[in-house]
Amino acid sequence: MIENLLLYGLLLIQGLLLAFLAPLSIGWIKMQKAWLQNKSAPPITQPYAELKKLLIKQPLVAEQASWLFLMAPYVYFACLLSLCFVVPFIWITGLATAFIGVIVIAGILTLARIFLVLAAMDIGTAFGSLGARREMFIASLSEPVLLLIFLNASLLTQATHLNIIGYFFIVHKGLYPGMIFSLLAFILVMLAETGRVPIDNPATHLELTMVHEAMVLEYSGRYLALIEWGNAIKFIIYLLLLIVLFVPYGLSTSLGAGEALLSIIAVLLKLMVLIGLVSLIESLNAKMRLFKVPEYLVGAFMLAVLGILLTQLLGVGV
Amino acid sequence: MLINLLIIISLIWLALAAAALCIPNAYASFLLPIIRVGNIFNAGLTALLGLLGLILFQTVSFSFKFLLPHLSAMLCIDPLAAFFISLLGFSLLGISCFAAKYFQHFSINQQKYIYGFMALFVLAMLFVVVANDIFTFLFAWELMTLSSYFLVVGLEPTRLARKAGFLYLGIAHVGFLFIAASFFLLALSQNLSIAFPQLMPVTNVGFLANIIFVFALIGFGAKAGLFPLHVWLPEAHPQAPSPISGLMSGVMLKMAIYGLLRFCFQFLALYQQSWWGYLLIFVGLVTMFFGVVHAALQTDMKRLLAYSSMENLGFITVALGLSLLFYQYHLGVLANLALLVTLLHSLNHSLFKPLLFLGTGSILHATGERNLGKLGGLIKKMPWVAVWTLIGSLAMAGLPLFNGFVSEWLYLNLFFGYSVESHFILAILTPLIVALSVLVFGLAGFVIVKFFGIAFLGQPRESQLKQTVPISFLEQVGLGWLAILCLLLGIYPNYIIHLIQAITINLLPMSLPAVKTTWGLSFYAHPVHAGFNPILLATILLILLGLIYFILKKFFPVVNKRVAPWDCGYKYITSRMEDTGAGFSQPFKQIFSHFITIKLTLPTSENLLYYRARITEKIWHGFYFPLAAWVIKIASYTKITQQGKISVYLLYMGLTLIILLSLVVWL
Repeated sequence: MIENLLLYGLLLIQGLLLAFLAPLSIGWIKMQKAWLQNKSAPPITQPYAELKKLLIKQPLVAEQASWLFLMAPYVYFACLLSLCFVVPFIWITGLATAFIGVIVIAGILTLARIFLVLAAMDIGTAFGSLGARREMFIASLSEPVLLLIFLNASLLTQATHLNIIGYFFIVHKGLYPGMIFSLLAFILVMLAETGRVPIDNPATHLELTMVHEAMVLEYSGRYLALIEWGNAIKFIIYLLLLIVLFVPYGLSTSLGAGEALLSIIAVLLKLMVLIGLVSLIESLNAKMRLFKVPEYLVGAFMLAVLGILLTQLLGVGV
Repeated sequence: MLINLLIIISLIWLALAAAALCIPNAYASFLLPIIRVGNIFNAGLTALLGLLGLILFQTVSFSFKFLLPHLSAMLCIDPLAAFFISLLGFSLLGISCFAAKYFQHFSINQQKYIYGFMALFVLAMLFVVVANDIFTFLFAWELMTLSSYFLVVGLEPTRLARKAGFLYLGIAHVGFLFIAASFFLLALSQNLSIAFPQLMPVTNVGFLANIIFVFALIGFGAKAGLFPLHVWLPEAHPQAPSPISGLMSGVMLKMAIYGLLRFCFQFLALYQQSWWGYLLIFVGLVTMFFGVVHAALQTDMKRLLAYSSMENLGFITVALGLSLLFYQYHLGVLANLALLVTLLHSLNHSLFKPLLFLGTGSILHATGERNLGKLGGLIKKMPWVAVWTLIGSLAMAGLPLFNGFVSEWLYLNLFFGYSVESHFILAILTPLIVALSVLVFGLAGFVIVKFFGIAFLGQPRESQLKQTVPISFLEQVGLGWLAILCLLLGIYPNYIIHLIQAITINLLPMSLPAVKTTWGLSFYAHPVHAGFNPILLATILLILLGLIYFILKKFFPVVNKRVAPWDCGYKYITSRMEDTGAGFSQPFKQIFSHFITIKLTLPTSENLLYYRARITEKIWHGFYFPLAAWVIKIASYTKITQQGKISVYLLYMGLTLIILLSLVVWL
């Protein structure tokens, strides 16, 4: 009983910690990009300062905004926050992992996005609907890929929940050829879904090519803070999904303090390396034309399908 | 008890139809309110009948003789029938509440007409489900087609409505022909018995079973709107009044699924072949894909919804095919799960689709506009309609906490939770099936954003939209009923799944249930860690929402300031700068240009600045127009036999008699 309570308490803290640490990932990526461009970097805690600034400022809301516009950032943030309690961070399981499987994770991500997209269309400015249209265009092609990647992991591990999937890969170390294709597809999708460079440019605020920033153009104050924080959480959740699906080694599977410490170091190292890779990709590539995006995503789609086919073929062979 | 209730309900429907169609206009003002109340009351009774049948879980049959001594109508309520009755009842209850107010905008003659045929239509659907012999079934089926045809064409006798009605009638009758043929072949193999219980072929029908199945698939496919017989669907739905469109889309299309279920799992249960499953899956996938692509490109709200119905029916067909296939491969649990998806999604679709059609009905009434590109900003004029429609839209997109998600989740678990490695073809095909399905689910999200976003959000695109009126209480009740059911089935689907599983076990002998419904949803195969608990998810999201709201309110108590939106450097922004429906889906038009025909009308002169892109399906030029040309060509050959003189026709009759007589003598 006591042990269970302790476990739940620790898992709750894990989720909250993840939510509070998420903006660091944005700070880290901005730092790295600045270094790659030979600029002097802002401190890694810069996103916190920005969030604080946004939270204490008075929000300006457009006259014609409806309740949906005011509600959407809360829904967006709550959905993503709930995922903090699902993805493994220090321990292999989260507080809510047992009853929220991978399909539901994809569903919650979509729910969050759809609210934000609808809010973008609420004001009726040209930029809002432009961003909404592009976001849905990209998302409706990238969401299937995410599900297919999950399917591949599920087929290999016979499980639909992240803790069991991760545990399987920790115990059965080995090279899974199907998963390599899935990994490639996942990286492509992650860049698209989190609005990173070949698809979208998070650093721009006024360009005709922007997607995500166009959607949230009308937001300010605490609403923008919620969205920005939500984006940071979304980014780190994708990274943690990558970790648990493809390199879960080091995640703590017991309650021991030593193992937890080791796990924290491992996961932070992995996150730093992964974010470094993302910033490298961002710095080396130019943004893509919008109509090249389907080719990119269909490529990811095909990679994911190929991964599953390979898994199935090898599975049949065994 | 069930039978008594059924008879009472049918008599009330008949009385309502007779009253509506026969009363003189002088008494109409007195009788119409009674008919409205009777409609709602009887819809409630129908729902009750279905629910009772499901809960009591018994099979009762009954037959009564009429007219001729040997002609009797056999009726039977078994659990499957009870399920479809409750589907009809629940959907109808919302629709008739809404309709009671909505139809008041029409003239008295039109109201009489609509109520009369609507009562007949519902009665026919009820009898399709409870029919227990071939004649009753076919009679009810034809009545269903004809009454809905009158509802499609009767209200506004425009050229467009007549064309749509004709198309519907034509395809429905091709379908009827095939259904009748498959019944005939079935009866032929059973010494011409017509009662359903005796239709299970005991003697080896062998190859004939395949033909019967294909005929049934064509026949019911024509009604369900399966590719390539779907063309009537987007034409006929927009022409009917919205509550009728909702009824057709939500319930009538499911009658075809019901028929297919009877054929696959009852009459031909012993002769199932695995290729039937593959055929169903293939047809379903093609239907899904074309449905969603065209839905994404429509600018007319009701056409958009009609195409989305096509997508949903395709999904249901795929699940049905998978069930058949898994059963053939002796994967009983999976077959059970797939059948559960088939029935559950039928129910879900019959709730959210009428809800959305009713939503378009209130928009249509308030603004007189069906074109998405001219709407906008309705969330402020009709806040509650916006809420209900949003719930319906999110359910249609299959998002968590709404009912559409439950069926999608169960469907995906067919592939995620189980491994079918032992069957090579399945192992290779399932990834492709999943890939296409999830692509369609993704696009469905785009469709609802377009539907809801363009109609309700933004600023009014036309000036007359500024005078829209809020809708009445009764209409709210109708919309609210369906929306709350969507939410309820999304958050607590356990009980209905429990009920449906009892049916699926009945339909698939020797199979075990797949879903454990004790607390949350989980699978017997993975009892500990493969669950989804919608209630817990809803609780977590609500707690988090509340916490965030109160923390922000407590620690950052700043009040919003209302300002003009940022104007991009222009002096002011107008509603003409927003995306229209066509603009919103422009990227898809570009990437799916291979699947559609686009006819562009460009401005011809400076004064006539007019741009229009008309999107049609390729199938018209690829299949229907050549087919029509062939039919006309064949007809022109037979023209020489038609002289228009009575003597010639008398000669034909004489010749026919002689031939028949000589045949009799010969045999």
